[in-house]
Amino acid sequence: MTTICIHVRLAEPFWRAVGQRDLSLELNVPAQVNDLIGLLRTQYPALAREMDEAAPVIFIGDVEAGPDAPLADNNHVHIVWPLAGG
Amino acid sequence: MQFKVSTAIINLTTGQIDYTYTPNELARAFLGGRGLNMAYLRHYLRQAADPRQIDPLGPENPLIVGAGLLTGTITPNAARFNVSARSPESSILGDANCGGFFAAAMRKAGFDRLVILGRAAERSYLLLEDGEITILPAGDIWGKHVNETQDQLKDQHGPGTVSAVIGPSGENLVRMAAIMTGKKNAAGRGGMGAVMGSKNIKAIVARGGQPIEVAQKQTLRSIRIQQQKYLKGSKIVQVLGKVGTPLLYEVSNRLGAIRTRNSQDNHFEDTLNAEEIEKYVDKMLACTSCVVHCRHRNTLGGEGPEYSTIGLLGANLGIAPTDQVISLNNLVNDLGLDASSVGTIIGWAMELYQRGLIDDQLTGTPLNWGDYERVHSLIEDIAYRRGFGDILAESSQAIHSFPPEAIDYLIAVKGLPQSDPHDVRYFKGFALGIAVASRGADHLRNRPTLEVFKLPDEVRASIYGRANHPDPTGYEDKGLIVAWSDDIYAVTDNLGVCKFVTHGFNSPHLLGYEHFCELIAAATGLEFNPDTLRQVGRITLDTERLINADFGLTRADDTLPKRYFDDPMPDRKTQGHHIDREQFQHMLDEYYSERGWDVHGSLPPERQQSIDALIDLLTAADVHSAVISNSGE
Repeated sequence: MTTICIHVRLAEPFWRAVGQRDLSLELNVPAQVNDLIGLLRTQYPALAREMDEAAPVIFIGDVEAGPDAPLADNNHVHIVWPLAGG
Repeated sequence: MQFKVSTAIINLTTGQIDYTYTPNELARAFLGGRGLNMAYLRHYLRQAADPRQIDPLGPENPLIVGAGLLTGTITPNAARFNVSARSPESSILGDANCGGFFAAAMRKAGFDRLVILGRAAERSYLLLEDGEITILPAGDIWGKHVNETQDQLKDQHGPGTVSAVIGPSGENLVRMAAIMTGKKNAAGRGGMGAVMGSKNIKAIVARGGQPIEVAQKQTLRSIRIQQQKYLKGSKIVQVLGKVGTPLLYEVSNRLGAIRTRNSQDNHFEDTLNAEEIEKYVDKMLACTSCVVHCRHRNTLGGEGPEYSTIGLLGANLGIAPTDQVISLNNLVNDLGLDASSVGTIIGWAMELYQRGLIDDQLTGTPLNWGDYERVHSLIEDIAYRRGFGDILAESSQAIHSFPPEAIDYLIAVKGLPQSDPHDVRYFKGFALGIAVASRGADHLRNRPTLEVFKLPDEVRASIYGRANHPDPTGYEDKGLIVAWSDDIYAVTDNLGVCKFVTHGFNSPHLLGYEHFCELIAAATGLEFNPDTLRQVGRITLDTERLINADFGLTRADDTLPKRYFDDPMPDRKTQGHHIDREQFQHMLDEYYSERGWDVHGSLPPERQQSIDALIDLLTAADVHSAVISNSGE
């Protein structure tokens, strides 16, 4: 396999820049979180602007992942703006 | 312009109404809103031989309604007021903060603060108009729901009328009854609606026509324009204006920090995400002078829901369908109940039922997670004190009807059910915050929300005044950040400003002490610098501590629900986290030290003396007010 499929879910406010909550993206292997973010930034400039204004936290499944975290085929990645007000 | 705070002291028992001014020295020390309410509350409680003997639902409990210092001016988001009394829910300091349009109307009717004493012989309401207060018979508005009551009062008194009212819950002395204004704005915490009901007061109606005096009109206008531009550039303000607080649900849920099924679980369904709520939103609304516009009008006949309500009437009760949660939100508001307490107390009862600690003999019918119809009817039964609802109407005091071990499953501190749906076992500063909050388990007193942002060390040091540990899941330096949050949120409450534009709440930007100093100077002519303004926060916290000490509270009461100590979080990123008892005590030590309190959590005697000397100015003012009093008839 030379590419993997990553399922991305965008939380508030990111999904509004793309117009949809869920995306599926193909990445060349080996792939890390920062490759995914780079691809999203390229494909969706409005999303890039949002991420510049509201630094996101990335989860692979239930685990928070740093930029160097490796991605595997069919990983579910959740991009969230960390907030905890009320 | 001369700085003055107009206060009406209304004795419902005698019908006497004194129109007076708060002594300037005292007003300058506390400014307004929550802080000045606390000064008045302490003044009246100290007149009792033993404050612990004051019946929260008796005529001896004062009910104080105070607008913030800047409320009703063009200051950004200055809409708020506080209602304070001894809480019938927690039996300690009761204090609820509320937005909407009422407080501005109250000030424009000529009143910054109402002190309501005694009990009316008949069901009544208060009319505030042109600097005069009239006590009128409630007639057929008694018994009506919140929305209908306000509609009728508006019909009766004409356009421009704004009311703060109680629903059936307040009339029936439900210990978690709110005072409501508009469809959703609630002075919700601590059962202030029950105190109002106990005084036979259904509503306070304000018809405002008087301008609010401002020291430097043009300067205040320029500051408003400048600050509005600054705030509107903030990402959080923009997003709150689009979707409101429901945006927080998904974040907490992904983390595994949503109180679910009475905190047995820590994540729930996506049906309560903001974009699902949005399908039921008609439009976004605002309070007086607001630049955020975070309040939804929903298509099911109400306003909201907020994040807290979504979590506590949804995930906490196992109810997933979006429309059902919105319907429950509308129901609690129209009955005049505090959604936070209701959701927490019903969740508690559901777990007791699940564990067999209570059964159908007590509950009447089964009480299972996710049973919308049962919850709907139970909420009505609480409001009208029917059947099992009559027991739950006692809020945390329902423990007296349950087996003793039921207390182990109650998510409350100092008798007040936790306000927000965030499970605090992960972020340790959040846990410390609800443990020490002066009104009981509540996030709006001191939540250090910046903990989630991973801010650079130098930024954190600059905000909190010294270097501090960046790990939000550790125990180090949490006393520092909670004490810092205490102070700035108290100042915000005293000014009548919303926390959604306050530095430190959801953002490391927004309005901080320097901004507030500019606003205060322009609006009132009072000069403060960031240090002296923070002292206003400190004296507020210290006075609250004194009030609670008189109710018998000690260090042992600054604690957490047993579950937060003993049960690790079950799933997701937060899995395994709980609060270590020993480390918790270290956090408490640090917090007391930051506050200048001793290891028992007590103020130094000289600090108490200086605060009480200020509050004693009210004793002299009482004599003065008797001289200038008018009859309220």
